[in-house]
Amino acid sequence: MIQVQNLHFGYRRKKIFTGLNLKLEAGHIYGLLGKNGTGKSTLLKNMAGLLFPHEGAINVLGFTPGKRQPAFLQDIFMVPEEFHLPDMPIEHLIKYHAPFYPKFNEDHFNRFITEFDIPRSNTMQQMSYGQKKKVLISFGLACNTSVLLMDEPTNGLDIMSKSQFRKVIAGCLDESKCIVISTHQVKDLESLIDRVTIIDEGRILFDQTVDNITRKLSFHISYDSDEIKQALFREPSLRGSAVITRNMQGDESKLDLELLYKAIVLNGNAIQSVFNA
Amino acid sequence: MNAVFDLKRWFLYIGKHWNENKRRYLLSLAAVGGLLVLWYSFLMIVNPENPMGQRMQIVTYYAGLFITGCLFASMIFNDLSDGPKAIHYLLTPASALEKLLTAIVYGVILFFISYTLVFYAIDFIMLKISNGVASTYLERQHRAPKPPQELLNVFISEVPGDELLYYILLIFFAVQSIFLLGSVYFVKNQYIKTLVSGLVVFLFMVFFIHKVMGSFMPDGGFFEPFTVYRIWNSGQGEVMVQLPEWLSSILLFLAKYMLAPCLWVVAYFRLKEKEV
Repeated sequence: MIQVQNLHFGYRRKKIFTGLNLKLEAGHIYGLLGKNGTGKSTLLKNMAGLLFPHEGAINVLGFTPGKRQPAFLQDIFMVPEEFHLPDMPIEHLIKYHAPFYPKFNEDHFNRFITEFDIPRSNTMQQMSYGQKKKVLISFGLACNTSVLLMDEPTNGLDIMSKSQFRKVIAGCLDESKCIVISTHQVKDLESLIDRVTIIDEGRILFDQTVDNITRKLSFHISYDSDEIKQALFREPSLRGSAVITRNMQGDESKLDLELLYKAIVLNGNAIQSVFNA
Repeated sequence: MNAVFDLKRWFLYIGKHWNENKRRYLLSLAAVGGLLVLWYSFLMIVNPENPMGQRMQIVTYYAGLFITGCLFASMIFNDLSDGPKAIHYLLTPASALEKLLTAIVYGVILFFISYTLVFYAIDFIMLKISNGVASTYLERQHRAPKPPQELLNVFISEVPGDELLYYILLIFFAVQSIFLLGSVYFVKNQYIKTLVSGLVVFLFMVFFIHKVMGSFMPDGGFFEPFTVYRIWNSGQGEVMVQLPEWLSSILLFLAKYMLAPCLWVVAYFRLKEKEV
């Protein structure tokens, strides 16, 4: 569905990607994790056709994104970190913007708006940042596009909204859709994504399905000093130490995305060795 | 579905553009009307005897058209200079051609029609007031009354065969298209940057024609643009070198009618390669 081959991209003074390869399939929610400035947003913009690769190729749904053909644009939706919604009532958004998306479902949109508790009578200007973001997310989901790119979607959402967001996104995924969520707030994506891709310094540091991770790694609190010492990654906590160890039981453990992220960034080789074995 | 142009999609886009920008457009027109009222009121104060002479009305129309038209054209792609708005603009599922044509419809065609309508509406009202002011002034001065000023056609000169106003209008559309291109080309301060760039290009062309071309052309100058070159020859007096009729007709046609469309084509390609 999305293929990135040998992507080279950079800004005037800074190279971001030097030969990035990535393949994203339909039916999955991908979590794109990484520190600020590592190229998450740049990658999403390249996928959406807002930036053009300097070298290499990107193929999304059989299109070259940079050409921005209408048939491509109507099957992809992007929720950017900093977004713009024209100042109009929600009804006008449906009337004037939705017809561009052939698979837009008004019932879905109304359901999301209700779930997010958005006052329908307000225009965008009368809404708070978080409310506007929820309108945009609802609209993007209701467009039912094959590709949905979200850049830091939970920024600006309150605690209740974050949990509603997870619920709504999980309910929207089907076999024909590919959802890519970029964030550095890893906790917000736990139990939502089914594939973790970590970017650092413009390259893929880690790329595994959640199933594979939870089958091969165990995330838990340990009080056993030997286990703590031998752990692939450890972090002192108020009660014992949070550790990542090899999952010897074979049962699926519960993913601690934040801990995994820290482990990959600080001690990536140890974690990678488990998956390479 | 056509990837380059689809009529139904274009109409959808035109409707969307209007809905998102109508408030700004209507406010701009109201501001233009307000400025015209202020200008004419100022003229009535400084020249109560003949505040709205025909020449003044024509100058007002064209000066206003150039200033507001170019300002408006330089703002037509304003969204592209603001990251979030640019994302919204570029990801809206319409082709670059449809987006450009919409900009031309609103920024060139509808602007011209709306500006002319606002001008005439204000001109009509202010003319009534101006005639009243002038007659009161002459009465106070104990001078004979003058015939009242009438609404004039700003597109046709009173002198038969004089095409100056027609040419000014053509120049306006070309200049406005330069500002439209500047609007998509530059990221910030489009109006000023286009003005300065346009001036630099114009001065370079003048320099090129007079100094560079002039250095290998015979002593003389263009008598009529694109058609006749006049040579100063001390022995034979003036010698006119005229291009063949068909060639000069083509060149004249291109200069008159093709400059603006050519700039729109450049704007189209610039819009296609725009990044955020």
